[in-house]
Amino acid sequence: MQLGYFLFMLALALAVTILIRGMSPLRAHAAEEGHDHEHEHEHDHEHDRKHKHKLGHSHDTGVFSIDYYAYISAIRDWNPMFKVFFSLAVLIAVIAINSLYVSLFVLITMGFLTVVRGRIPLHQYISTLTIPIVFVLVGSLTIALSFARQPLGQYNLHLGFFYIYTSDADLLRMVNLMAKAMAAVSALFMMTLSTPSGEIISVMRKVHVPRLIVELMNMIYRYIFVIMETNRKMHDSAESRLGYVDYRTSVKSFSGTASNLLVVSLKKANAYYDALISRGYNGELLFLEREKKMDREQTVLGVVYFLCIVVLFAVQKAALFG
Amino acid sequence: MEPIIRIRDLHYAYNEQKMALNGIDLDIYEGEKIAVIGSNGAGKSTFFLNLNGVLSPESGEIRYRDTLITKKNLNDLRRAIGIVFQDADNQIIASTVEAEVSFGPMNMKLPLDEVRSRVDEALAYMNISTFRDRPPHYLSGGEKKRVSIADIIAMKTDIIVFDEPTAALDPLNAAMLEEVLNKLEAEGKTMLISTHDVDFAYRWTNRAIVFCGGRIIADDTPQNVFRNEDILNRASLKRPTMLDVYDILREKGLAPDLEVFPKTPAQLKAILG
Amino acid sequence: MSSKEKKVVGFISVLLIMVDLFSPRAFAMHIMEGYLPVSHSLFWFAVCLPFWFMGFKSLKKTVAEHPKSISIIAIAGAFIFVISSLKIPSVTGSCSHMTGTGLAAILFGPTPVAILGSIVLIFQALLLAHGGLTTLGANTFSMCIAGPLVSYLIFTGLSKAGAKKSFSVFLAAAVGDLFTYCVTALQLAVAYPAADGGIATSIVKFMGVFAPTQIPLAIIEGLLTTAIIIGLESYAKSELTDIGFLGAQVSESKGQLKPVGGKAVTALLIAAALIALIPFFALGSSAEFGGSDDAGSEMINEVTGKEYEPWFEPVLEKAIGGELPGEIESLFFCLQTGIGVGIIAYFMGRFNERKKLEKGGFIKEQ
Repeated sequence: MQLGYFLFMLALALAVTILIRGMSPLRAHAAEEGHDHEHEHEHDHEHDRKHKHKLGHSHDTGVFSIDYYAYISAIRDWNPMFKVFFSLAVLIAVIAINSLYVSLFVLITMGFLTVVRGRIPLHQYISTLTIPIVFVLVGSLTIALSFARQPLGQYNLHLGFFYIYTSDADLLRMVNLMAKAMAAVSALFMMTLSTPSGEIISVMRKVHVPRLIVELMNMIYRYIFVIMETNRKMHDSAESRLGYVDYRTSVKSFSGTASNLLVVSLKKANAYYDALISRGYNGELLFLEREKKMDREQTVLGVVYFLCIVVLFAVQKAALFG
Repeated sequence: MEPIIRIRDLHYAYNEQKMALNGIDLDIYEGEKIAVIGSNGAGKSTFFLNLNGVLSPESGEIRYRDTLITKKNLNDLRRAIGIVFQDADNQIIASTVEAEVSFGPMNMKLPLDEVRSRVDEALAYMNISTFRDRPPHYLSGGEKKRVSIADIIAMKTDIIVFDEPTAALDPLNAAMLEEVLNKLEAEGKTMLISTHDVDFAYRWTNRAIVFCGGRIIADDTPQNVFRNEDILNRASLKRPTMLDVYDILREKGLAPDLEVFPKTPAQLKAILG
Repeated sequence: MSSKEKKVVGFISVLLIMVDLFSPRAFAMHIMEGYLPVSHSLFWFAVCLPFWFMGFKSLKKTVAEHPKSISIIAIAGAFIFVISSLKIPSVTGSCSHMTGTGLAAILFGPTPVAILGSIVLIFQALLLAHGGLTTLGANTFSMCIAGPLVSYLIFTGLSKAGAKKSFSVFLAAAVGDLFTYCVTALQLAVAYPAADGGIATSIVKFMGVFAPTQIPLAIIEGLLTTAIIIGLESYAKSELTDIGFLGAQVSESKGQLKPVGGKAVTALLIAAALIALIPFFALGSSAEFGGSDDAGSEMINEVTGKEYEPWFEPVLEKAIGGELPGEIESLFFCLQTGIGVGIIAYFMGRFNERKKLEKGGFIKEQ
């Protein structure tokens, strides 16, 4: 009987692990998959999106999926300041209030906002949501379990000379934490999957983050893609010459590519600077920004959302005391 | 006619050992289409960067419309001369096409309405209006090239320098580029184009300047420059195909001897009757 | 022991082990979004402030003196980001990534890494869903301040002692990583102390749980960083100096750089941490500890035999007509602690910076 239980638990755990592995969004941040997005994006945006559904796997989203979807989100045209403040406010509220109902509410509604309103493909959203899941599981499970010499908990497992134990209270705490973390992540995604980084940086500029930092962030954002492209080319070239044929060779190729990448990148930095001053750059990157209005939908959303959170919070508090 | 740019005795060195520009004297007139030719390392790119004020020469002077350029009025020079760099990836700095094309005009401190209209114009000129909101890192090579040109067009400089513009372009995009050059010519822009494509230089430009070892060793019409064996040898240049073909036909008596040589197959067909 | 007990605990433990050991990807330990309570988030932000301030001042100075360096600094930041997003070759086939901060500390010195690293962390949160914005302070402290500082100290210390370059780089990178992992475990433990055993037990739990991924990762990162630095040294030295890049760190490490200021700062940090944490350990299993005012009122009670009556009400409590809710009160408490730490650290930093002024900016140009 006991053996049966253990085997059953083992099987379940394996299943969960495989499930996570299968959903592993390597594509979401895989530089090694890195793609020749030159060919992918020759055609129209609309065309692109239809392609996505036909193909069914997300190889053609380019290097960073989140960045890609930020540009094609249906709520891209919302006022960026609203999106940033709204999502940060919800994020902080979820953490501060620390209530299971609020967390679940946020998780579902933010997901709704991103997937339905923002028209991000659901499988992509779930795939992105699983990126932090390892940390959530490992961290939360660790909090639930404790060990000691004596069976102190409500549920104890005797392992030789010590006990692992947990309790209903601990389990509840764990579930609460997991929900809170996932809700916080979903609030963050609402912003990152609908707002291109350039706009987020411009919001930072508007709230008077020091100019130097904003400058650096703008440059770094652009440079990241340039360096990724260079790296991809180097990787492809090494791979086509058996550079990754076994572990030792892979290590050599990887480190060789990395050092070369640094040198090439530094040269590019110089070339970039020349191009900047030849167009009149004098210390501040100035770009034309599109005015994006705050429409009624956004205002209503903001107000109603927070009312809901307050209500939920009050309800839970009342339930606890009543 | 006064030259729009007058350069006298320009010297530039990257460091003690390498003298990149060894005394350049040049007069550039408005509306000229100049091919800047020379092997890699001959000093072409260094020359352009000096022209635009990115690099400061060791000695010599540059005059724009007869005004001497000093450290104080470098910005005036940059409003007059725009450089389209060889690698568009080394130039694009913004996160959307629209922002990128607005970069030059914004730096010129123009009023926002003016910037907006210039950006719209430039995007339409280069046929990339639909890309307005796209991030550059999702564009193809040819599209990125168009974006980098659009930014310079939006700056409305008198003189545009193209550093090896067709280097990474496929035939379709190269043809598109030539269309753009023709449009600019019609507007009276002065253009300097550095290129290894001798056929293009022969066909399209009306003046060829050959760099070698930091000096200008030839400055004449393409026709004269490419017939000069000595220059071709020193600068390691090939003869344009049309020139060879015309010479052969003339030798065999199949084509008439003309002052101005035919530069394209169509022109050749015309003179053969 | 009932079978229900075994089932519950066993299931959770096995799940934990499975996920931990067979996780599809092994990143460095960024604390993910939503994982730290608000008060803790704020505390770590406050701790970072003086370092951010110092780093910012240093960067500003460098850019003011050499305008071109902003492009180089930016490319360095982008490079760190890209390195940290590349999949490193692994024997098991799982997807692992370098932090890149050890490499950065050795190449660019620890001061700019505080700021550059934070920017990289922001982009990691925005573009890779890795780490978070509320946890930026905590992650910066562990990955961009503590770890790099240790890496830098070990590297320069060993180089001064004449150790072989590859050895000093390896140890610097690996130990820096390990230190980052320990600091992160500490941060988590402080936020989630165990019911029995307090922070001490919690640290052990978190360190244990992340060890299978973090310890191999630290070693691999050490090896890779060494390979990269040696590679740069052997065939890129001239290119680097041509560009005007910091040749000092890479080639002159045999003795010139004396991290006096750095050592002082670290020592003070460790002392501060000990002062803060020893009471937790000393009190053992009881996580409760009274403040000095509680002890005071008890004292008064003993002496006078009467209950202690406060003379006045705090202004804030008067204003809201009641006691402050617990969470908010601890929030203020932590904020005040953070600000205090910040002020002390700021002055420490100023003192340190004055010492470093002769060394010049962090980038030497030809």
